[in-house]
Amino acid sequence: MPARVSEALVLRTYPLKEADLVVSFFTRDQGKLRGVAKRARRPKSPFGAGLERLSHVRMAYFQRETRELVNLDSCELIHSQFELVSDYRAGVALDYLAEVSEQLLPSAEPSERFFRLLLAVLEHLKAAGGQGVWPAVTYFSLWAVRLSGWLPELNVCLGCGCLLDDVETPDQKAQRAFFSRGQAGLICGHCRRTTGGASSWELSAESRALAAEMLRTPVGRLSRTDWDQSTAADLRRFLVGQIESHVERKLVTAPLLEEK
Amino acid sequence: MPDFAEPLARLINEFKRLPGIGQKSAQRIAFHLLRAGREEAEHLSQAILDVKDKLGFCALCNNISDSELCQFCRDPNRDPKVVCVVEEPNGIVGIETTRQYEGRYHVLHGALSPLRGIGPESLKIKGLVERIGKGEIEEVIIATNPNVEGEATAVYLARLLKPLGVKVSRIGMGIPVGSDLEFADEVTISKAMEGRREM
Ligand SMILES: [Zn+2]
Repeated sequence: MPARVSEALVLRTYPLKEADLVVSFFTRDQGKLRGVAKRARRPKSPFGAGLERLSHVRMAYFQRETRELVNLDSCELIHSQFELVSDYRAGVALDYLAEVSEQLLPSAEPSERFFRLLLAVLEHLKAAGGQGVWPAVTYFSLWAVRLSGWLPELNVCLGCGCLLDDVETPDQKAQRAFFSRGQAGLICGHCRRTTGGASSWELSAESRALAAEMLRTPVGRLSRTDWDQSTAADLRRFLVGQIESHVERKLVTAPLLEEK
Repeated sequence: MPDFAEPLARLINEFKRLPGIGQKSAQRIAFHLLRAGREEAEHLSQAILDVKDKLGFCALCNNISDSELCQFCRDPNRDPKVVCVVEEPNGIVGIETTRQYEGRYHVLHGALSPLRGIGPESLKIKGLVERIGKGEIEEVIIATNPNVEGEATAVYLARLLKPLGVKVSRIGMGIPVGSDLEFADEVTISKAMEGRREM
């Protein structure tokens, strides 16, 4: 029964029996694992605040080849997100990050890029507080979809293959882009009319330009700084739709996040 | 697991589903009931059914109650000006064991947890706002659990209730009595520092 210590982010916990927790955590070196933390809900547990969602910890655990669940021994807190709770929306955003990660990450497959994505977004949230919520969740959603391999071309029509526009220099003749539930990419206005895509939404040229910038710029250095809830809301809706159709379930935190 | 006669196996299985009861304890209880008289078994089964049939929630504070108002809301010796907010009815049990609190309660029946799909609408907050609106309450003590959900709930409630003109306080969080400072993590210690008091 080898003892391991992994740098990890706690994704979520489920109560088990009277005082135990089942913990889903994303390790840097082994990917997403699940384990049992005995007596974790008792006041003097060896886990302290370390098992709250998205705590950044060094987790000590025992792993048996034959068992799906590892046994958690203890954890050492590197960074806690506890202080972000004082902002309600930031708290919901953390739950959203945890839920999306839990849904998208496969078991026991390390992903250094996803791990770094989470750390970068958490750091941005911490630095910017409630102000940072919208760029953080938008950036995270875009990259989470991209790292999962599902991000379609944002400037090509899925229907006819035409170029939607050059997002870098939107002009008057720029094609409009639309998306709808269960559809893997964007379509142009022409294809939308011919396929009768009535229940579709537009992804604005502005949001597509933001997405293009996010794919090459760290979250803390985006050119736009005056984000509010309406900024790139269409992009988030598109990305949440992509995530939901791939994991084949609704994200419970997404509507709470977008609640006015 | 040994082979028991079907009704006995069924009883053991039912007990095993209860919190804190494993195979051994379930067997002990089942055999105890097997040996006991029919009357004892009837008392037990009736008590279980009564809990389900005769208990409801207090119309004022949502505590478990067998009448319209619970024992605390009925008690004229409890101070109606102070209300302690807990997540679940069993939170009241913990506070009552101190025998130091003489105010009343309000049970939310949960805590904010977007991950579990629980938003403000899912909690019993409206009744609390109405109680404050009637003007009798002066202080609200928020005793939600010392974890992310409980803290998020406390922050949300404080924002909502303070403008209504009541004093809002939060129970202290920090180092458990009997433990060693050396083993506490940064969150626990910083919460303990936040909640320090003058001596
Ligand atoms: Zn009551």
